[in-house]
Amino acid sequence: MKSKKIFVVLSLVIMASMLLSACAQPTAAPTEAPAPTEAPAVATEAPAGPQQIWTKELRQAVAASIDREAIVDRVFQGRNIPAYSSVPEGYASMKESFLDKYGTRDLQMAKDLLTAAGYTADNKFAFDLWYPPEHYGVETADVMQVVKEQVEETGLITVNLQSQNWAEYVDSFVAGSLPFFILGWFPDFVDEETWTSPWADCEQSKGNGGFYCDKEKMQPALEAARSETDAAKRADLWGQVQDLYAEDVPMIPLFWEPEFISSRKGVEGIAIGAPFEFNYNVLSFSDDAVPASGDKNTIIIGTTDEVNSLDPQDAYSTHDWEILKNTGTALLRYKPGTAEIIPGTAESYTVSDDGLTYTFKLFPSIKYADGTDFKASEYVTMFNRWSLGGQVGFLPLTYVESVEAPDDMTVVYKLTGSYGFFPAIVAMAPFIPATAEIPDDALLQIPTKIDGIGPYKMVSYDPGQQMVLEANPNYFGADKPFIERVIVKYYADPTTMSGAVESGQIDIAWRILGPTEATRLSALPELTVSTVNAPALRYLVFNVTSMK
Amino acid sequence: MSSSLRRFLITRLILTIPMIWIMITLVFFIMHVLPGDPIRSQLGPKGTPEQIAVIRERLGLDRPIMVQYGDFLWKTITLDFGNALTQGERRIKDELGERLPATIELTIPAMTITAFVGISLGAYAAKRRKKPEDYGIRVFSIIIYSIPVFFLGLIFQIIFSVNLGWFPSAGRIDPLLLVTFDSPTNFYVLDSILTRNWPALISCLQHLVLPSVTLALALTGVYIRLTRVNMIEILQTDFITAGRARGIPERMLVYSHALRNTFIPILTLIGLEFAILLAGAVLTETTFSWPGIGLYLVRRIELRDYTAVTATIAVFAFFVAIISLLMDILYAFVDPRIRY
Repeated sequence: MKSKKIFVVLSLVIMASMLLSACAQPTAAPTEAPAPTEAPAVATEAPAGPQQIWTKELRQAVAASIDREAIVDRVFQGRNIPAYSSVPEGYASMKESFLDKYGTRDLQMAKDLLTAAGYTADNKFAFDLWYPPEHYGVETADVMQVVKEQVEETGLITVNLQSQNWAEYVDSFVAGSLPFFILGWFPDFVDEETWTSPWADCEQSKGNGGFYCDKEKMQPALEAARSETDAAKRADLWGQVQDLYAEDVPMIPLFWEPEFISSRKGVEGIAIGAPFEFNYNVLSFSDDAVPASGDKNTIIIGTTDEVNSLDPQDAYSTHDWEILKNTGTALLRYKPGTAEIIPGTAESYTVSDDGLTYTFKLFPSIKYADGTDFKASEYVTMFNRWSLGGQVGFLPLTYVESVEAPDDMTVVYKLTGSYGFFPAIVAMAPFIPATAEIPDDALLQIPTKIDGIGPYKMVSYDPGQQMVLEANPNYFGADKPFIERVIVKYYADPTTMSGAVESGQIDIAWRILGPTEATRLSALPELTVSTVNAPALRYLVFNVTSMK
Repeated sequence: MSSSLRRFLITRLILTIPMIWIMITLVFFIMHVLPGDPIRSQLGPKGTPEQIAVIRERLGLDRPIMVQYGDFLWKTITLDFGNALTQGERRIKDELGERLPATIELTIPAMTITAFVGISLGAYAAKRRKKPEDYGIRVFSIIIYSIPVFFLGLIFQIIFSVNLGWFPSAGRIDPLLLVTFDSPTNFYVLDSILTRNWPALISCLQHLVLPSVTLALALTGVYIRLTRVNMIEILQTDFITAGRARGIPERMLVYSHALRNTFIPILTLIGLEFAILLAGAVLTETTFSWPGIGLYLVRRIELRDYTAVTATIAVFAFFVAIISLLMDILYAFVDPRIRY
C-alpha cells in the first residue's frame, strides 16, 4: 500500500514537470524584470510618448554623471583605460567625443537636465540597472556599484541594481526586457563600423537590446561613413558619428579592458596589435632560452579559453579564430602586431567605381598541407557554407551578395552595399577555406586534423588538454614558422596557468591571464609581461523602448 | 551466492531502470524550463534572431517538447545519447568516454588514500584515546575538514609544483608524451601499463599525485572521525573485554577484531562519497585542470547544453545505482548477520 502511494506521488511530480515545461516559453522572461515593453522584436523606432523611460535628455544626464576615471581607479587600480568613445585608440578617426561634451564628469549638467525633466529630491528618476555577475569577471558587481553611487550623487536618481546569470541575461536583453544594462564587446574586424553600428544602426541595434533608431541624423551618418572608400574622408565621417554618439547617447562606453600575456625570458616575437591576432609563426627562442618542453623546436602556450568550433564557416570565438588564422589564411590578413592589411591568399585586388564589386587575384601554387591544390572555386564553396546554419554565417552574408570564380586564380565578390572596410571583412576567419575533412554541405565543428593553407597544420586535439600544431610543409607564404611545433595547453584556472609559466612548465601564458596574475608575474625576473591593448569594451546600453 | 542474495541483486538491478528514467525525465524537463538557451549563451549579443532561429532548427530545438523528449529517451535507451549542443557539437558518447575515465582515474587513488589514511588514523586515535596522539589526530581532522579543497590544492601547487618543482601542476600527462601516447580506453595509467609505455606511466603517476592527494586529504577528516567514534564504541563491548581477558594482544584486538566491526558505516560512507565524487571532484578538477566529468558537467550547465547535461546525469544515475548495489553486496560479506 505504502509503495503504491510512493508511485502515485512520483507520477504526479513527473506529470507536473511535463505540464510546466509544455507551458513554458522557450525563452522565459526574468522574474525580476520590469514589465516587458510593447516593442516587439521587429520594432524599428522607439515609440514616442510620455511613458517612455529614456529620453535623450535623461540619457545625457546619466552620461554626464559617470566618472570613468574613478571607476577604473577604484575597481581596477588604474589598470583599465577609460573609454570616451566606442572607437578604440589607434584608429585614425578616434575622437574622445564623450570627453569633449561631458568632460571627465559634469554633475551640474546632469542635475540641470534632470531638473528640467521635472525630477526633484522627492520625486526621483528611478530605473533598474542590470548586469551578469559572472560573465565579465567578478569585478562587474563592483563596477555597477560605483556607477550606481555616481549616478545617485545627482540626488535626483535612484538606481536599482539587478543581476541575472549569463544565459538568462542574454535572452532578457534580446527580448527587450532590460531597460539599462552592461555588456562587453569584441570586434569582428578592424574598422569603425563594428564599433558604432551595433548600437546605433536601426537594424543592428535591435539584436543588441538597444532598439535605437534615428533616421534623421545617425542612420544617414552611419551609411555615409561605411560606404566611403577614401580613407581620409571616411575618418572624418566616423568622427561625426562619434560626435552624434556623445550627443544622442545610444550607449555609454565605460572602459577598455586590456589583456595580458606572460612569457619566459628567451621567447621572442610576441606581437599582438589592434586586430588581436596572435601569430604563432613569428615566435622564436633566443639562444639562451630554456624551453618548457626542453626542445627548441616546441613551444607551449597556455590558455584558459576553450575550443568551440574549428569549422571556419561556423567558428565565432576569439580562440577559435586564433587557431583558424594560424592553420589557415584568409583573402587578406594583417601584418603581425599591426592593423596594416597585407596580402593573404590574394596577391592584389581591385574595386569597381561604385564600390560594389571587389576582384581578388590569388597567389599562384597555393597548396593545402596535404598537397592538394587550392583554387578560387573554394570561395564559392565557402559562400555556400555560410548558409549552413553556423554561428558566424550571417556576418559575411551581411556584406556579400554573391561570389564568382571565373578562373582558378580570380575571385569576384558582389556586395550588398558599398563598404569601404570590405578589405577588413575578407581578413576574417569565415574567409578561410575549410579543409578536406570538412564536408561542403554540412558543418563539422571538431575535425580530427586541419591540413589547411596556413603556416601551421593541426595534427591532434585532446579536448580539455591540448592541441598540437606542426609547421605546414606546403605553406605558400614567405613567413614560414621559426618554431616547428606549437602545443596549446588548456587550463581550467588562470592561477594554475600563471603558476605553470612561473615554474617553466609552459613558455607563454595567454588568455585569460587576468590583471591579478599579470601584476604578480610582472615582478618576477624570469618572466616578461606585456599588456595588449585589447579591443574589449565595456559599455552601458539604453533600451530606448523601455516603458515606465 | 545464496538464492536470496541472487534474488536481491536481480530485483535491485531491475529497479535501477525506473529510477534512472525518473531522474533523467525530471532533469530533461527542468533544463528546458530553466531560462537561458544554449545558442544565445554561446553567441551572446552577436547573432541576429534569424540566425538563432536557423541554428535552433538545425539542432532540432524548434521541435515540440514531447518530440524532443521522445527522441532523447530513445537515444538514451540505445546508449547513443546524440550530440552535444555546444562546444563543438560532438558525440556525447565520445565526450563522456574521454571525461569519465579521467575522473575515475582521479577518484580511485583519492578514495584509496583517504580510506587508508582516514581509517588508520581513526583506529589509532581510538586505541590511544585521551592521549596526546588522539587529540592531535582529532585537531588534524577538524583542520583538514575545514580547509576548502581548492585552497588546499592551490597551496600544494604553489609548494610542490611552482616552488619545489617536484610535481606538475596541471593535466594528466606531459604534453610532449601526449602527442604520441595512444590511449584507447582513456584510462591513461592502465593504457600505459598495457602498452608498456613506461615514460608515459611515470608521467601519469606524477600528474596524479597532487590532485589525488588534495582530494583525498579533503575527505579524510570524515573518515577519521567516523572510524574513531565507532572504534571507541566497539572497544568497549564485551567480546573485546573477553578477548583482552584471554590475553589476545591489543594490536590484534584493535586491527583484526574491532576494525572489522566498524566497517558497515565506513562502507556506507565510501559508497556515498564515491558516487558524489564523480561530480563533486569539480573543484579539484578546476584547480589542476583535470579534464574530468565534474568540470564538463558544470560548464555544460552554464551553457544550457540540454543534451549533454541530461546524458551525463543519466550516466551518473547509473553509476550511483551500481555503486550502491556493490556496497549492499559488500555488507553481506563483511557482516555475516546480514541476509537478503
